Amino acid sequence: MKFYLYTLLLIMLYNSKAMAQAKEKKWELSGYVKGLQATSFTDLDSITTNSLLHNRLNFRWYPSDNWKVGIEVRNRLFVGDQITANPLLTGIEDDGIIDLSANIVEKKDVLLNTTLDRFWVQWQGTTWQVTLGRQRVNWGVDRIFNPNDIFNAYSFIDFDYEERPGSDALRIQYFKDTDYTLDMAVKITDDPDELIAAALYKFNKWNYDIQLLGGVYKRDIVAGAGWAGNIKNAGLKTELSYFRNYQNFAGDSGTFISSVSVDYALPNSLYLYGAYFYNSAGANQNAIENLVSINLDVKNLSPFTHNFFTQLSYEFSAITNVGMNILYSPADNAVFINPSLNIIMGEQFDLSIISQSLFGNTNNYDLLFNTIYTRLKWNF
Amino acid sequence: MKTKSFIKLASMATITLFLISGTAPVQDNARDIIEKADNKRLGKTSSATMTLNIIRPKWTREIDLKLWTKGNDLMMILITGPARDQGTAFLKRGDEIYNWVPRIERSIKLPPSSMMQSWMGSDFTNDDLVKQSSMVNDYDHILIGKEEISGREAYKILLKPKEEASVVWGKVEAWVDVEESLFLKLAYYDEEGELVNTLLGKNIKTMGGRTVTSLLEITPADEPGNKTTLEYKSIAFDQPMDDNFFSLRNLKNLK
Repeated sequence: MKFYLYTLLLIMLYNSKAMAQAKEKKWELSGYVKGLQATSFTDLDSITTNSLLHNRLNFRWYPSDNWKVGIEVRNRLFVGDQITANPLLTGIEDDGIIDLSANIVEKKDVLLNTTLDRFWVQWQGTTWQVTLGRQRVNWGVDRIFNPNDIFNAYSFIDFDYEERPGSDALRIQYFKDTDYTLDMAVKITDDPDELIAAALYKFNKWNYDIQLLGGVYKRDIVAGAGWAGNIKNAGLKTELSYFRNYQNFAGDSGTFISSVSVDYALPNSLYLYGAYFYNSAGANQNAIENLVSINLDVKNLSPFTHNFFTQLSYEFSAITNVGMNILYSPADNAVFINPSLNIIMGEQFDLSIISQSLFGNTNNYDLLFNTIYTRLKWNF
Repeated sequence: MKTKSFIKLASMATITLFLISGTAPVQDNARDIIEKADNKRLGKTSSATMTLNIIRPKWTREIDLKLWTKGNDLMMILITGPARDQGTAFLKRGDEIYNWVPRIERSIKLPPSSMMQSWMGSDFTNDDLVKQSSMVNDYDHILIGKEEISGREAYKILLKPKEEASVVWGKVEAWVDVEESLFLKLAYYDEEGELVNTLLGKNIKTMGGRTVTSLLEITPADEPGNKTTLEYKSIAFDQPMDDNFFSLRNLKNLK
């Protein structure tokens, strides 16, 4: 019943959105509804299928030129084998200071969860900007691996949640002019094991965007740097971060993670990207199962020491795009293959067919994981 | 030895002769025509709302956008519709290009090579929209004569890329309206001399206090039935715009 009421509310909001935009923009509402069908198998005897209906609402309110409020809600209806198979799902955790996640329906094979993953208020002056609340602090420079993105680690495998969970944080930014920014953020928590407090200084020199960061990450001291520039017509991006436990500084050797990438766009709409990602805390064998680990954190963006990633993307037309992501690590001979096809259908609908396969072992290539996703998305 | 220096001398004399006899002023004239039309197109600053229509034999795709420019170096584009790409924005500052992706709340720096890629899958490249290469400074201009385009009298000018300029075209032909200094037609040729694209400036109107071609239509030569149109809904010229407006900070605040 609640779900039907919600659908009705969604349609009402959608209709009123057009009205709001006709006048001067005091508020905005956007979002999507996605239907995702996943079929997993490693051999034909063990096929599992799961369905997910996923709705997102992004709401912005502009009470004045200086003030802005952002609220974003994520609603997910799971149906299928995964609910009993994956106990983590029913216990969807909200690791913020206030629990803003609730299971509205929880049955044997049906689960409806709603989560507020953005809830912030922002004040903007000419040089200062202050944001308080659940927000995304995104300090990454590169596309796939982001050692500098210490507030919200992102996994390239989790293609269906690009927005990522927010951090309950206070963020203060100072803009000197176009090219210089000082960005300070603290994750608000009552658990010192989860505290993140850091500052990032960003500037532009020699046509390079350069950033330096330092602070506290959980029980570590963190220092990092990143830059984005060009070599002739190709793009070059680098991110480096070093973490070391401050309670046992002498005894800890620290963790160093880095990503270097080059990208190039051809006139025929082919885009090429190649990256090398290094994780000093990564393993050289028996780590492949951790690649799809749920508890992602900036220090385990990949469980392997050496990672080679390539991305190809080609636009057949203005409505059809094909992509291919491949990760290779010599550890466990791991190969992750992720082709995708995206088709734009009219003004509001997108169809995607995505496949993810993981091969690897210490001695030969075994298929460990194989899922085909079909996704229909309605944007509004 | 003697013959060589004679040739040198002769060619120098010829050049001097041309300079005196007035070939150079004619070339300057062609350059002036292009410069005047180019300045009129963008002004010192411009802000416009427009609709892009990608037309294919079996389907069309429409994208609404806002565009801000200041000179040739500063440019910002905000996609305002449809919902799929709403809020996506682009910033060009000199040779640096950035893409704001609202879903991940981050600006990604794009490689310079993306300037030559199709913009949003249309027949326009990024470079067509922003004109990273300058029609005035990157080419030598030769006035061919006058021709009639859509019932209007136009100068026909040949633009040959300068050797040191980073221009992808072998040559460009431009037809500029004699009366209003507007680009009525541009034909782009590759280095083999094959026609690649034809751009037409249509629907001449007064907008933002200026006469403009309010509809641009680009047709690729080798794909029959394909074209892209860009239609101005509104445009304002020469309003004061701070350089800071074209910043990464502002890119995420565009409305």
